[in-house]
Amino acid sequence: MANVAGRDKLNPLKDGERSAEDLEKEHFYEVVENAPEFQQLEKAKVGFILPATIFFILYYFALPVLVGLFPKEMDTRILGNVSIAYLFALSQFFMAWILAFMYLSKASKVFDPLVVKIVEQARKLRAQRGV
Amino acid sequence: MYLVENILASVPAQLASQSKEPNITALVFFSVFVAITLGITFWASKQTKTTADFYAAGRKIKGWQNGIAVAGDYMSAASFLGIAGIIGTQGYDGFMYSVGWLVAYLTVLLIVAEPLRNLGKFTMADVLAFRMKQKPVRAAAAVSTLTVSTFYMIAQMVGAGSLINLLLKLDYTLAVIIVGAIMLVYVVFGGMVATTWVQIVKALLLIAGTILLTILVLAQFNFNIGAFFDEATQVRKTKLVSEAAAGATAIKINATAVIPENKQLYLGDKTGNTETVAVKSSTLAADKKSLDVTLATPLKNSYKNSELAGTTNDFMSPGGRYNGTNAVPAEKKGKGWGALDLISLGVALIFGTAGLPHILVRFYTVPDALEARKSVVWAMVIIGGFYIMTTFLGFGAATLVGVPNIGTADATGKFVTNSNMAAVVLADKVGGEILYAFIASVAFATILAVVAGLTIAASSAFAHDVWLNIVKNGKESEQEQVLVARITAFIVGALAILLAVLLPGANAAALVALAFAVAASSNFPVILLTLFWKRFNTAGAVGGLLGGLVVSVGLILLSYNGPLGFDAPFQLENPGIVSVPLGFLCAFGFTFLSKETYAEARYAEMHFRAETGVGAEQMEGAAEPKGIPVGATAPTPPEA
Repeated sequence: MANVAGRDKLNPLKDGERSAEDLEKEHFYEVVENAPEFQQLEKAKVGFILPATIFFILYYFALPVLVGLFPKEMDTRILGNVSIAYLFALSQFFMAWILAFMYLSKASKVFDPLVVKIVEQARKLRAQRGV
Repeated sequence: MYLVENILASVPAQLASQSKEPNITALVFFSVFVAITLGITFWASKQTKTTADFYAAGRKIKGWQNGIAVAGDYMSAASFLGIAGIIGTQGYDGFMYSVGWLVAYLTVLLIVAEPLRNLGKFTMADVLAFRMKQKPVRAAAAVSTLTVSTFYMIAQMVGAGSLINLLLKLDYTLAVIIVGAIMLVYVVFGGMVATTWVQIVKALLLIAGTILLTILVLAQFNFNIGAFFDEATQVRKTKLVSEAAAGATAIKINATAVIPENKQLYLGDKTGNTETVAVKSSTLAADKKSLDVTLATPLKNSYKNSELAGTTNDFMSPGGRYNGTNAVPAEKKGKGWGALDLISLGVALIFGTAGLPHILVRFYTVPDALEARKSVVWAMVIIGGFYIMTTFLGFGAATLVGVPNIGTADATGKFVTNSNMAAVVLADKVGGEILYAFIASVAFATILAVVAGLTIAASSAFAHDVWLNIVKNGKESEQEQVLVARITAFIVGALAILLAVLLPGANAAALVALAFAVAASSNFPVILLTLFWKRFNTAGAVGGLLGGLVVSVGLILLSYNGPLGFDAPFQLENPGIVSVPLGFLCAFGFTFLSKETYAEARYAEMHFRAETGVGAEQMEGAAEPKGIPVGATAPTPPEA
């Protein structure tokens, strides 16, 4: 419940003003996010998700763009009566599945173990600070 | 609305789907489904005590179960009836819906699902409210959630209307009220637990039915997929321009491209005359609006002007819907719109899913982000397999049933074409009455389950965001909250029934695509910027939500789907390509109107939690929360 409880109540100060507790907390999260493991997690995630997203968006939009602009050429039949347009559309399914499983494996091998470490460190830091 | 083709065509009297009597077998199947799901609801109602039970099934749903439920939410009347119908009546272009809707899950998987599960409690607005001002963002998010859900619901109810008419020959209003009432029982008494399990049961039935139909269709071609596609290339829809008498070898059809020699031309009319003739030659008329065709053999029957639905090849070619001439009459639309229409649809489809409230709330039903991730992948496997099969259903209906025969007889026995009926009429054709009754009742169940999911999402947006957090300032007992949620669900459901009663006929897939456009323009930019842009603030979120909503709904009203019909100024069928960038622009623009230090200061905490799941909402009864103890990191509750 806590994380949806109103920030308006939580923060009765005017915008721009912060309580000592707020500042303490902000500082805490800045520290944990500057830790090498968190930076490593960020780098690994961006390194996978950004290129993957750009790739799937380009691969996907190639379909409506090509089919829309070059319907005749895309209608070339290459497997009996099956057209390039159909096969390209079909390939999108496999592209999506392959990318999804790559993400699944990357997440469980790289992201999740890092998260465990990060949480452990943050817990220790919290105990030290007694926040 | 001009999304359904109104071609009068022949009635093959032997099909049960085209009898004017109510179908008793279907009624029996449907009653069994209702009995089982009411049983589930009774069981679920005993477990629904807290708000977490009602909105999020106690967060106890396993990843694979939620995957099936997400797939079930997605395999709605639009996917099953609508896509099969577009492929069945317009060919290849319908498959573009299938592709876009699956690829959309990559957006959900890579960007939205896990942070959403880590940050929120019951609704999409929870994520925004984490670092923005509560009241304005919750109010704006509730407005957009209710709008998207309403569009989606209209589409489902249109499908329901078609089916009721087909199956039970009941009075439309009465039938919609019965369907709505059953759905309300699921939601009001069983909450998310019942809704999820009804969705799972239905998804499994739907997959089984689709696999069976696909096998039966391919069996007609001796499992030779090549032969199946050969047959699919033999059909394409067009109309005769002038009368054609028996014995004639020259006809004039409404087509803008020359048909090569030896291609087949299928002709049919509403009196039951059908024949297939080979083309000898064809030449385009001087005004390029009609085609003079010389036939290899004389016509057997006489056909009247414009009552005819002729079909030429071929359904494998792109452009059956989006060539600037089919969805909109040629004279109203420039030739170049085909590509833009397709791209615009694509934008709405792949970014819309990540903003659909009834899909997003599903991720709160699992214990943690890991299970949310797994459920997306499960859903992708199921949905992808299902969507590939839509081509077999659609092309199967076009070839085996025949494009002009996709429709149903009304209570007076008069045949009416209806593209939403492709899958059910096909079941009748390849599997006989029992399969037809089974598929029709599964489609019915689909609509019931999806409308239930939509009702939960809409009622949580109202009861949790508006009532509890805005009106009551977050202070209300669990018991009262559940009561309010139930009352809201009842009101939302009753409104859905009312809307359904007032509905015109339209293709369910095309209508749902409009809901996706609204979600992609309004919700998606704001979720994305909240998660990844530190400078983003309350003004930007509210401006983005409402701006995207106004732009997308406005463009839909200004398009030919709106009240102006074909004289409308906005020519695209789906506004995505214009409204999504404008939605982003609103979100960016309004952000710079103010500077909100607090929203920026809390970004670090939100980001840390989104990435690690620290402080995320726990499964009920979980002994030891994962990560940092909740009490240590979570912000102090307002009461403290």
